[in-house]
Amino acid sequence: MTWFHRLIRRLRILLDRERVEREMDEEMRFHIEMEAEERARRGAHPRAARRQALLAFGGLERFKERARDARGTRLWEDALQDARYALRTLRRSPGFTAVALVTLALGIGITTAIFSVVDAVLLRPLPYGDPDRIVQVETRWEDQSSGNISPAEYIDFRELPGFAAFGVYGFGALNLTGDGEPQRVRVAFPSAGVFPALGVGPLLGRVFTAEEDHADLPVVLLSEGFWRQRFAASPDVIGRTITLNDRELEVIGVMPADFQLPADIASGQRAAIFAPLGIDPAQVDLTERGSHFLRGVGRLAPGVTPGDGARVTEQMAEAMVAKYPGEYPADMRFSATARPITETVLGSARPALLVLSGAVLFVLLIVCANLSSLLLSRAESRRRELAMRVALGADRGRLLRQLLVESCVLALAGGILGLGVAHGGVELLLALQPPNVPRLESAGLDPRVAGFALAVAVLTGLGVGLLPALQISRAKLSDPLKEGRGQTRARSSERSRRALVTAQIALALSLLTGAGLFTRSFLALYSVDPGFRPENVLTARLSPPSSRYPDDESITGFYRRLIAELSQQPGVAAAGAVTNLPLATSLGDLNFEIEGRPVPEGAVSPRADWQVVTPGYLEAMGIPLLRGRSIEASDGADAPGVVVISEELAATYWPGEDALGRRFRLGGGSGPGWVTVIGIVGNVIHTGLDAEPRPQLYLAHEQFRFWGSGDPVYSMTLALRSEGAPAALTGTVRQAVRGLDPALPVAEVRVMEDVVSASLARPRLIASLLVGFSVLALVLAAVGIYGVISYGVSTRAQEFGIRMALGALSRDVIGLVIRRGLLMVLAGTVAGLLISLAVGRLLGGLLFGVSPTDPTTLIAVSAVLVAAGVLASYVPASRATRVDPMVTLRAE
Amino acid sequence: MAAAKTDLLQGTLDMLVLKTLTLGDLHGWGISKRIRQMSRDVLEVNQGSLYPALYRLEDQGLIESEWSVSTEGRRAKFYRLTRAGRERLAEERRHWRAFSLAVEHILQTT
Repeated sequence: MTWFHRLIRRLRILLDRERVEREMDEEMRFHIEMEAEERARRGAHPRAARRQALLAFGGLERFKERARDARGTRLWEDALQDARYALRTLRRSPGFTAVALVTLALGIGITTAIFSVVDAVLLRPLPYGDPDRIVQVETRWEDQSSGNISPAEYIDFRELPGFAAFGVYGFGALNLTGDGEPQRVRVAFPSAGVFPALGVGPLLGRVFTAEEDHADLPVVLLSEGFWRQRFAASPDVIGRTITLNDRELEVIGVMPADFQLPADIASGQRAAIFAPLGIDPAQVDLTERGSHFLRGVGRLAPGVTPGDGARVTEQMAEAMVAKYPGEYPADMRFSATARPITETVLGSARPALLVLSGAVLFVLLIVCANLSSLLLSRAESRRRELAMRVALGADRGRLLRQLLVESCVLALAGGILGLGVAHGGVELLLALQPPNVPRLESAGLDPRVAGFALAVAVLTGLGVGLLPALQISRAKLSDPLKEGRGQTRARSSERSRRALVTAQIALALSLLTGAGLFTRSFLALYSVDPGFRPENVLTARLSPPSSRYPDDESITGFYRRLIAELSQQPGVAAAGAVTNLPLATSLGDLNFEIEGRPVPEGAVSPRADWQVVTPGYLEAMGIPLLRGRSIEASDGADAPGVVVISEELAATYWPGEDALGRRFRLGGGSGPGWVTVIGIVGNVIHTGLDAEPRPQLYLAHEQFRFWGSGDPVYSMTLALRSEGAPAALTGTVRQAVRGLDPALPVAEVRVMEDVVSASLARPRLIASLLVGFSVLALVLAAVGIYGVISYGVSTRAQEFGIRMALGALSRDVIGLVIRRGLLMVLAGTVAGLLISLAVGRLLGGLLFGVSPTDPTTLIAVSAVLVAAGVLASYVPASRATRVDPMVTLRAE
Repeated sequence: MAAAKTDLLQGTLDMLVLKTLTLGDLHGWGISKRIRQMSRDVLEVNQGSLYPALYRLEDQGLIESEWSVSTEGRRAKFYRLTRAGRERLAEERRHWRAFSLAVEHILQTT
């Protein structure tokens, strides 16, 4: 018989224990009856024969016990029995059980909630075929990393050796018209190579062919969500058409529900529609290397490692620089590399999640220490019961096992409650909707997460039970039966408990330090002046399609009329529009040539982040005009070119000089031509409150034309400064837009303060979670101190009674008790500070405006812990002074 | 009478049980009776050892059991030797022979 058969047989016995027992009874009864009959046959009286048979058989129950042992299932039968016994004893002490369960449920619940997020975001494989083989191909120059690639570079990268497939994609937002309200949808533009590179096929229909992609044929793929929403998941959607920016496109396929392009996963967005990239390799001018707006993704050929992939990409970039030195000046330090897609997509979320995972691990450890010391006290008070069981024949191993089973039963019950806590926690996290956390929406309780919770519960049960169980089984258990009351001094158990409390304090202090640092970091971010006044500003995005606004005047005229209309509305103090809203978008930079300062060969030209604005934008956003004038209605298409620059730009290129009136030429000569600096405004922090201000310039909307196409800017974000509540202007905006163009959707209507707040959501969430965890840790540690001190006071009640009888003041006794507590707290604090300093070094990159060894934070949290420690010792200490000496002395 | 009986050596009971079952399926009482008979009333199997031994052998897969009707027409649990049990018996027998031979040698040395 193999072990497997044996296991099955044992399981059957366990599951059908009653039948097995019944059969054993029957078998033994049969034996005795046969024996009795045999004896009767030999002439004994039937009754005597039966008695003799019974006697001959011997101790029936004892043999049954031995027979049970032989069945090989003894261990499990005992464990079940122990579990039942544990449930009974736990029910007998509801106070202890309730405290333990709440502590466990919180510890395991929080751990599970964070695990479910980590699992959803980091651990699950990306929704691609064989994601380990996929790399992101990215460029770098100057200090910018993970840069996009340009069409010309895309053509070159297609020849990368060692790649089985390569593709690029970009994003845009297009106006969807047709049935229903006009709607603005996120559209991705993948090249045909993206699908084989990601190893993903369509749910329905087919993906683009290379010809459709190159020729930009009017075909589209739908996302599963869009197909469900717009076409009610109809299977005959293939061949139907949708209208995007007034162009009719034929639906050729639907992508699977979990499909998102890598960059969308990273930013937590979802493209509704996939349209061909429409770049024809034959038409791309390979000498024009600028305009980086594509993301590259490649699949490594079998046998090629990601390291190989990175190396060939770097070599190709070097070859590009060598071939087009004019396009890649030495100062630009252009390079390219390939990184595994899991790293590029999930890398940004990893540090924060690691911090949170570390924090919950600390909380869980504190919970364990707390519970362990609770169990120690409990075992202490149960010494007599346990000694009795030993005296009655239980062996030490059995006792140890029983205590472990008890703590496991407790931990499992706590784990089941913890699942409830975890569910609530995940729901809460999802409701807070932290932005830019990839795949967070898929976090939740599933069998995998539940399995994790139960595993944590069992480990916790074994971990917290081990110390008390060993402590008890090592002690001389017969002693308590001999000792009188009050004489028992479990010195070693008290030492263990003090060590556990010290550990709790150390862990709690580290958590508090983390919470303190992240809170300070968040406050520092919050108090950063973004360079504009976000209060009382309403924003909305408009994208008039070029099909209905064919010439320059039609589009600039549309914005001119709209802003004039809006400015006259009651409640509007100022109105304008900008290409990129601060703290919500990224900015491209543009190089320029300053008049009289030609750029030497191989040097990098001056460059600045650029915005195109209408008159009124700077005023509406509250960007302070420092010198000169703002962009005005008179800066029309035919007027001389003007530019408003930021303080940073003026200081970078005209340090100590007056920048007003200076002239420069944009885009290396191919841009809008010569512009004159007419004003200097304050710096605006655009990409995030933790970013440094960069040189910025503002061009007039009516004057700006894209080099190359010569088109004006079509998509703009409106900004309205309100006199009252900004949200109240929503109707005003919609009405004004509808008055000019009823088919134009008004998208992303947001109050600017919400935009600022959303950009802080992540640091705020981390800080508040850490504060929550550390408050819990502090409370648990305080409870731990309280428990140990009050136990110590109760065992020394007699001593205190004598002291006070001999004239000690209550002050002296309180001092005595608090000193003991304080010693633990100080030891824990020192250990905690050391942990904090060690862990702090890992946090450096996540903090803003505060050093990981910030003395204020360290001193403050130490003070909080010492105060908590004194308070937690004071309560039992003052109880010690209320002891009546006569009572304790008589109790002996 | 009990004093006259020789106690079974530790470990030999398993072998004897296996041996009795080579003659056919038997219930517990039958096994103990047959051992007694075959040893000509010298060996008495203690019931308290017999049943644990049976359960242990069954757990090891050397014998298997089935409820059936005895010759007396009563329901009883019959044990049967498995192939693994047969192999084990042959092995035990070899061991036993070697062992008893060795003991005999020692006893004959004067």
